Amino acid sequence: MNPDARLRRALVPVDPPDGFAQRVRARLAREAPAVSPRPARRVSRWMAIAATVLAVLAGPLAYREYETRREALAARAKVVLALQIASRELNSAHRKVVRPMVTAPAPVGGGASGRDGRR
Amino acid sequence: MNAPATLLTHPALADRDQRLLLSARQGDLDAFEALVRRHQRKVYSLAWYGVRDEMLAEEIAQDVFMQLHASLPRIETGAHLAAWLRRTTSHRVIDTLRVRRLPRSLDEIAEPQVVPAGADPLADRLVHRALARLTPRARLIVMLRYMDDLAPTEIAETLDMSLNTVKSHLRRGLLVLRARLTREAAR
Repeated sequence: MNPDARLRRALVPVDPPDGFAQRVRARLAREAPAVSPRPARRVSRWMAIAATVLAVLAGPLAYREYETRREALAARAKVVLALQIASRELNSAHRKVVRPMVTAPAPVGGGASGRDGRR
Repeated sequence: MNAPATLLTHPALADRDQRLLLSARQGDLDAFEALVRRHQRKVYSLAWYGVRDEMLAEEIAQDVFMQLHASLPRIETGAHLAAWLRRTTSHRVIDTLRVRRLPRSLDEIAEPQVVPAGADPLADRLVHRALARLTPRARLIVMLRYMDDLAPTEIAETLDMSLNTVKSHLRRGLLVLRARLTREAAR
């Protein structure tokens, strides 16, 4: 018989000892975690897609909200500034009106002889 | 003699593997056990002829199926499964042989639990002793060629080698085997 044929004949497949599949299953039950990678991966993929869509849709809304708030704050600051200026002007006008009254001259009479006596 | 390798590539059987793979991926242990039963002979044979040690061969075969369970999500088809099992078993055998010596004397070489009908145990022992003298890679190449009936290109893919390296190992391995078998026959 030629060597090729001898090799083929000597290398016929052999069965594992009885109960091999049960032993693999038992070892699997002992050592391996439950198989659920596919559904988990699918769920996480959908969650990622949903998060992206949400970000795309909510982004402009959030920006508009931010812009409105910023404009409102700027307007309030302007109003406060205007009120401060108006208040300052009013105070200034008030001082101008009140001070002449405070420093006004004494009534005419005894006052004139006194002045003449000092001279 | 090469029926198992041929059967594994049969479309109907590959479809059956495909259905079992789908169920096993969902966590069906019965389906996974059915996959083990369908492929255990092929995996165990490669391991047993590779290391010639019943306990070690069972350990390697079990490890391969444990690894298969962890890799189920990445295995798409029945044909992919057959190739994956062959490749993983071959690499496990080579890794095991890197750290363990293979028995070389006739007395050390164990016999399989089930001796195939029509086998000539003495002649087969001579072949196995001659195989044991090859390097692990050369032995795997000869086994894949003559046990699984793989073409050199398929062996190259399985063992991550170039086609020229496979052909060279095969040619050299067969020369050594033929010389030894001829010498033994002449005694």
